[in-house]
Amino acid sequence: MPFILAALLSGIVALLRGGRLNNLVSLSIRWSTLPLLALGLQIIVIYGPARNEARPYSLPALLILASYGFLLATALINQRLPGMAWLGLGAALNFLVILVNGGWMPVTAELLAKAGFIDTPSAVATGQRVLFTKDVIMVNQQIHLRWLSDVLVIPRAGLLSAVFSGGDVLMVVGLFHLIQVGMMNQTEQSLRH
Amino acid sequence: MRHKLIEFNNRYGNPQTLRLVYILLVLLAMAVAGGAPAAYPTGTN
Repeated sequence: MPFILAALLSGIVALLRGGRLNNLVSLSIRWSTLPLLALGLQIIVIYGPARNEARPYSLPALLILASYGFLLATALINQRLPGMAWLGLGAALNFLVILVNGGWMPVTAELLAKAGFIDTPSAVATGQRVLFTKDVIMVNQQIHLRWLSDVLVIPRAGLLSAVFSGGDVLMVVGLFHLIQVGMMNQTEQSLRH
Repeated sequence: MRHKLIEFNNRYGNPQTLRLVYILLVLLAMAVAGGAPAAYPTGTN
């Protein structure tokens, strides 16, 4: 939810700055079907029959990796667009940490409890998928590149509650910037610089 | 009903609007697929 709210907030800020939603039409995103494919793959893995699957490098895990690959490719193909560098870097960092942790984003039970998603860390077991997410519960010692995993928390803030990664932050920054520039219709000007 | 459909099509069925809807869908896909999970449940499987 914080990601969607950030996108909405960016739209509102752009409107307040005099931007127009219609200006997004001039945003020329090449290979724009890739993010849609990425989302489709994630929906299948997160809500489909394999939503309980947590084995490393299983088919659903590989599909999650592929989805981040698609996002990364979108950012690379469209690197001329403002914000895409941030988006690409964020996707690359998330891809990397998911790759070295079996194809799932690792998260600890302690952080889930801190965010208010569970009552106590003991309420969940290590190795389980967190339902309706691409996260798997691990202990700190198991997590490779822990600093790139979901280690940042917005605790107990209702809809804003979240456990997220540094890569997520970079992607939010990139998306926020892209929407700003798109709605302010500065795309062409930005490309000339 | 038919009249309303025609009116709806005249108002929103132009390529510009469809393109805007498509761009918004792509941006939404990036936000949802790229980011932290939309919402955690209160437990695991």
